[in-house]
Amino acid sequence: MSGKNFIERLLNNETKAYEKLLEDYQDKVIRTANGFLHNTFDAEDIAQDVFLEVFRSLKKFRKESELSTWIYRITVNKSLNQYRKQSRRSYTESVDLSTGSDGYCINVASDVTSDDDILKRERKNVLFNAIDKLPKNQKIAFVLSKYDDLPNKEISEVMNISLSAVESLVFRAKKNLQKMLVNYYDK
Amino acid sequence: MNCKELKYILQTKLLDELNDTDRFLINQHIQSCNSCNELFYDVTNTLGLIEEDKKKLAHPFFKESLLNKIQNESLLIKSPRIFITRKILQTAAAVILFLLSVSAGIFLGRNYLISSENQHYTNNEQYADVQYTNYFEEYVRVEKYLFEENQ
Repeated sequence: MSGKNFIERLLNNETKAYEKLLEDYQDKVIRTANGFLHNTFDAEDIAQDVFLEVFRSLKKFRKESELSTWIYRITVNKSLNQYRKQSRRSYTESVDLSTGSDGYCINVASDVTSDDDILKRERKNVLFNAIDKLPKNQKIAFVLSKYDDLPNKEISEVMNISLSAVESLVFRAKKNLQKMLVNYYDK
Repeated sequence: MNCKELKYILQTKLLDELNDTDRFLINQHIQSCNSCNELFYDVTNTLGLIEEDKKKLAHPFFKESLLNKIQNESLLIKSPRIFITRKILQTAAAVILFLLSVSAGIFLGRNYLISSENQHYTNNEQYADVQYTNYFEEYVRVEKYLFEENQ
C-alpha cells in the first residue's frame, strides 16, 4: 500500500490508486481531525483539504518517511491550524449556538431530549474542553494514540521525536486529563 | 480507604493502570460513599466517551465527491485548456438551459392568458342582455339559455 509502486501509481493519477488511498485513510484522517476539532463536519472539511494537499504535493514527497506518516503529519498540522482559527472566534459564536457551560461548541441534535442524552452531551463538553486544555504536544500524542490507536513508534515518526518522549507525552496527557476531570467533577 | 485517599489515587494514578489492591479498595469505598461513587463514575464514563467519539465515520459520498475534486484538479494540471473549455461549456449549457426554461415559461404563460381571455369572451356571449336584481338588490347577469328556456 505505501510501497514505491503505489506512490508511482498515485503520481500517474491513477483513479484506482486514489480510491484505494481514500478507502484506507479517509476514516483515519477524519478520526484524527475529529480528535482535535470535536466536530465531524469540520473534520470532513479538514480531510478534504488533507487529500487535496496530498494530491498536490505528492511530487514533493521525499519518500524518506512512510506515506501514512506524511498523511498524519499533514492532518495534524491542518487540524491544529483550524483549531487555532476556531478558538479565536469560538467563544462568541458558541454562546448562541451551543449549550456548553464553558461556551464550548457542541453538535446539537434536534431530537435529543432525554436526560441521558443531556448528561452525555455535558460530559462530552467537559471531555473536549479538558482535551483542548492539554499542552499542544501532549494533545497531539494523546489524539494519535487514543483516537487512532497509533503505536507509539508511528507517533514518534509523525511528531519527529523519540519513542520515549512519545511515551512520556501520552502518559502525562492521560494523567492531566484524568486530573482535570476529577477536579471538575469534585465540586 | 477514605474520600481523600480515593481522590488522591484518581488524581495520581491512571484508571487503566490501577492494580488489583487499588481497585478493590476503590470498589469497597464507593459502595459506601455516594459522592465518591458519583465522582468515580462521572470520570470513568466521561473518559469512555472517547471510544464512542472515535467511531465516527465519513459520510457515504465523501469518497466520491473528493475523487471528483481530485479528477478535476488532475485535469486542470494535465490539460488546462480542456479543463477551462469544459468549464466554459458547462456554464454555457447551464445558462442556455436556464434561458430556455424561462422563455418556455413565458411562452406557455402567454398562451394561457390568451386562451383564458378567449374563454372569458365566449362566456360574455352566453349572457343575456337583460339584467335582473337579486335578493340583495344587486344587478346580476343571467345566462342566455336560462332566459330562452323561460320563454
